[in-house]
Amino acid sequence: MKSFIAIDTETTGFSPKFSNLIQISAVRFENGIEVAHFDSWIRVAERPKQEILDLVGVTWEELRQAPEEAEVMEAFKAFVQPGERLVFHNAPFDLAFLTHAGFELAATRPVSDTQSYAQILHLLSNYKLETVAAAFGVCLDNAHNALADARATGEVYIALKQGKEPYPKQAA
Amino acid sequence: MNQVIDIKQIAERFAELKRQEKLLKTEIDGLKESVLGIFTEHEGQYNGGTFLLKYDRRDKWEYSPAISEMAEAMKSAKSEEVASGTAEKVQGTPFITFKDLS
Repeated sequence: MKSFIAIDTETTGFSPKFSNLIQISAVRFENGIEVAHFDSWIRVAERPKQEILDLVGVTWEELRQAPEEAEVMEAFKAFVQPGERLVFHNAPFDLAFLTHAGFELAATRPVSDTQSYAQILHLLSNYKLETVAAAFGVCLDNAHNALADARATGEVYIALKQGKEPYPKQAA
Repeated sequence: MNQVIDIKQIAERFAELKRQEKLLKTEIDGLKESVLGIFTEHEGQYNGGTFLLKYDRRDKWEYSPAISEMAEAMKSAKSEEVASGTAEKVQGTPFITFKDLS
């Protein structure tokens, strides 16, 4: 299996026009093994709702001291190699925020979506990352933290590519 | 008089857009099967650079006979309330029907 990068973002809402990125994480896999990762919080001007901070696992103090979005995006773009496959769980959501923040998605860049890929191959109770990860025995203890979700997405992608069958029962 | 002209223009534009919508829908439906065919090879996602196409599917649930019986009973109960006048009719969302006579 060629190298690929699994990516996840955490945001303050659902629309890049009205919400902000607060975390970008990317995990590079080579031959099915994690070899490097990128992970950064992103400073935002306004304090996000406490439930968002609790959900992703960051304090307002940590977020206030995080680097600016432009700085994080430059580092993220440097981490992602040209032509390397990008893997997301629900790619349109993350890519909408990333392209809004300045990431250019070339048409030649291969992109995979574990949510859709799982839907094509398997009938599960739903296709949330937690459910799909559980179906393939992928550990996801810290769901909704971008680094944990990116790692799980990468491992789910490997399981799908290897043609593994899901366990009969998935968590709802 | 001006108001009459505006109404005519608005109505004709509406009809024209509805005709275009029908043509576009026919073309999209014709392409749908071919588009669906690309997703296995592209692992659920087609990246067009300026757009993304993502495979999605609405799964259905098949319920046990107990649930089906409850749904039937509810349907009958609703019909009975309408017939007896117990159910109160409220105004719904307006919509426009378009019939192409050309």
